[in-house]
Amino acid sequence: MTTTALDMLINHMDKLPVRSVYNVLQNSPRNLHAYLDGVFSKNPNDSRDFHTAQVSLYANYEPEKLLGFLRKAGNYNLQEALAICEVKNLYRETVFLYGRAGNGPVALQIILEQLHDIEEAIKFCRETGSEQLWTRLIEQSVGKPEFIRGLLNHAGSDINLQKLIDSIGADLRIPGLRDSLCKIMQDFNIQMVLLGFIDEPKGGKTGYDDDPSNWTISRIGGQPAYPSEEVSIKLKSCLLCAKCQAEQIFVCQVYCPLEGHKYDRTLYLFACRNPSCWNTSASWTAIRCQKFDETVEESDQIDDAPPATVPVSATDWCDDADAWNSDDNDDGVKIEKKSIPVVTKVKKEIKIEPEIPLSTMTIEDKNEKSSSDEEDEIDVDAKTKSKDKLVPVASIDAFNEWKKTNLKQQTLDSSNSASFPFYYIVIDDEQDVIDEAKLNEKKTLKKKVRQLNAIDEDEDDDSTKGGKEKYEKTPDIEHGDVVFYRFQQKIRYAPDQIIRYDWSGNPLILTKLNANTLSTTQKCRHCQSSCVFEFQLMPALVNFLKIDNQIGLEFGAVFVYTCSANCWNNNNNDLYRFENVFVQADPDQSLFD
Amino acid sequence: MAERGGTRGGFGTRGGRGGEGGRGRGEGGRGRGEGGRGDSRGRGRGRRGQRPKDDTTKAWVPVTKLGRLVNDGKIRTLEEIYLFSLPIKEADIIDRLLPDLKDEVLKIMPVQKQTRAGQRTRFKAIVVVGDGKGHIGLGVKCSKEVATAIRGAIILAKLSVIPVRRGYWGNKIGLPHTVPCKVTGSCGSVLVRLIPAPRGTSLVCAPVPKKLLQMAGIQDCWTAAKGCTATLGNFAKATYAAMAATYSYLTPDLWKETVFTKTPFQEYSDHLAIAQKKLTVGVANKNY
Repeated sequence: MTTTALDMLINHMDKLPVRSVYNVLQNSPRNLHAYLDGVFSKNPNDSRDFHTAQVSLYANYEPEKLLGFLRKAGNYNLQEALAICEVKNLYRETVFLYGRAGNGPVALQIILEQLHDIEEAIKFCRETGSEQLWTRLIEQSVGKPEFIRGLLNHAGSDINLQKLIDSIGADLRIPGLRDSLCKIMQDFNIQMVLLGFIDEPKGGKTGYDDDPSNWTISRIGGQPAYPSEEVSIKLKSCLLCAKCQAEQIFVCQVYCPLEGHKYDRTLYLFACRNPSCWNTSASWTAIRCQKFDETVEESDQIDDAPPATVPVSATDWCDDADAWNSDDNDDGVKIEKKSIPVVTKVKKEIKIEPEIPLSTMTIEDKNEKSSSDEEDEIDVDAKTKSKDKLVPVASIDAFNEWKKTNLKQQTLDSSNSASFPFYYIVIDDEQDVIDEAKLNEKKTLKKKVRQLNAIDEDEDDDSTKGGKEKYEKTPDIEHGDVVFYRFQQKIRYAPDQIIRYDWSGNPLILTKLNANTLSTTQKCRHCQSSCVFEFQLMPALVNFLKIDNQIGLEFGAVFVYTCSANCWNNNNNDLYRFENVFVQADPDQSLFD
Repeated sequence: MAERGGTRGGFGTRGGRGGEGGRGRGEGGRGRGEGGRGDSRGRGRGRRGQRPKDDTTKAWVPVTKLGRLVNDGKIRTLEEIYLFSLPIKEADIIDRLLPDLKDEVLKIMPVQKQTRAGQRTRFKAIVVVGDGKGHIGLGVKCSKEVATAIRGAIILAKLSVIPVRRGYWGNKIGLPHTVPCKVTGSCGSVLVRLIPAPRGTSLVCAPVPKKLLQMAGIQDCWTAAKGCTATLGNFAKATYAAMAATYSYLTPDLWKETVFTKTPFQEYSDHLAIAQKKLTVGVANKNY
């Protein structure tokens, strides 16, 4: 049938009802198929009565389109369709139909046996979401290396990895195992962030203070506590600001031993109090002190560690972000609780592959990518916003005058013995804080939500429901700083956090950062190996760095990068090592300069 | 929680030793007896004080410099921020400076997006905030849950609070009650025109701009609208844009230039300050 004839028939369906055309075309199934296909693409409902017939037509003439048809169409007889597909050996369609019919296991069987497609199987299991299916899948994959690898790669979050790994025989050669394992570990890495909050000051309510001279406690203010006297003597003279050579003031010490590492390890931060040196990286110093500690056993067993939360695998997370507003990721992301012992077991399995140290592998630095992605997104917004920006009503001089009267600019007073008030730090896991906050919110908002759900139902009658309103991806923010808005979204459940600890994770940047600015922090000064992000100080800390009730030190966010190899020379009596610091200025700082 | 000899307190014990793997993943914070859960002491424990968990209203901890100034009371009115066009990045600033701000949800509608797995529905909330004394803000947020959308929209509305100038229709008796002149704002295809009206006219307009004008504190106004006003988002934004235009309009009473004079002594010390800083563009643009 020519296309003009087809078009005419389809466009004039009101004059030429589908049924009459159908009857006429009975003799030439090919034409009938073309016609019905056209009708269906125009409007699936128009060919409702003939869906069952269409199944066989598609199967005969255009099998590629069959799956799409089956997904969209509603009015076909499942049994018949199944029969047709099985006869024609159309496996994917059969799988879909079995899934529709609720017969998961059979579908799974077909996928695995006929199609040998592990990814399809995983997708199917994910869609159906039943525990049983996963278990069956795992059982089936025992002894089939490609399946196991596929499972490790794609289904890291949906299945109990422990079981899977247990079921791997000890001598099974799995190609690409190392990469899959790394990917899993990377996934685990995403959300295990620790947050530090201000705890009571010295001599506080609980009255049970840790010894302030204990160097293995995390705290801010006061005087630093070193592992030994020598350190304090040696450091006293060399803690000078690189810009103005004034003596730096102690900001905080963070006790952060590394896993499986036999050292007690603390990081100290010092900064220059001179107002003209604030917000610059050169005026900050980070010191790392370590001490070998025999009492620590190198364990690979963790007995009753609390189960940690594991996010959905990296790719899924990104898909969601692209489609909708990335702020709402934590609302809907499926998070399962897993037991940690998995990771250590996984380490053992590396023996299967020839031993290549993981450190030599190139895993892309997520750091750079994320900041540059955001950069691209923001550039457009920032540009347009700056065009619309109105010139301030008052002149610059008026502003300077106002600043003088209202913000007494501090001058550095030469009393070097000044120190920040002493506070301990209490530490909590980010995920726990968020979960708790969400729970509290839900409780308080229960009533409100019911009211709002009522409003929502009224809208069903509205003819403009969803039709003309479009989804807005980036919210229209008056101040134009989308990165800061995202930063605020991230900390909204715990806005009073002062430290964010995420070893080898990504820093949470405050405002837009150029891709190159962090490059100065990438190499260790002592051993030339690369540095990883360890922790950052949050802007909320500024409120606690007061001297004589005036803000003594200002910054936006301070990122501390430490040597990834944790270099330390025990025999050479190393006392301390320097680490890299990057300071990001307060987003408002440029206005007040 | 099993403590290993009680020596592992402090921050995350994460990562492995350098040799084993750059990304070798240890579990984080295993040794943390803190966070209100640890019981046994030991050396090297971070504090285990209890964080206040059931705080109904947590005190605001400012994150930006402007926030700190507002929190400390150095900035008392919102007008000071407007005068110098400082961007407001924290919604709590508005809360602090405009304590009697009210918020109202204009509409919640589901919007859909077609994905491979069917249609994804999210809820879009449009919220307007205002104090009835010349400040108005409009926020639009989309989210999977209604409550989240509303909360997000309220925050965005607070961030977008602008001053609304009110004037008189005729005699300048009493307090201003209407827009100072005919202003217009548009968004999408919708164009909204606000026209001054005599006292007692009350708001002659559709329900959507009526709500906005009421919250801004305009008592009388005639309006004219054009375009597809059924799109509530655009209609509200157009009205908001019209109200924003009231302060960009140069009326005759603003003709006289405000001269910001300085004492010679200040001028002299300023000159020193400027010499140290990089020359700013503003110096060239001095108004006098």
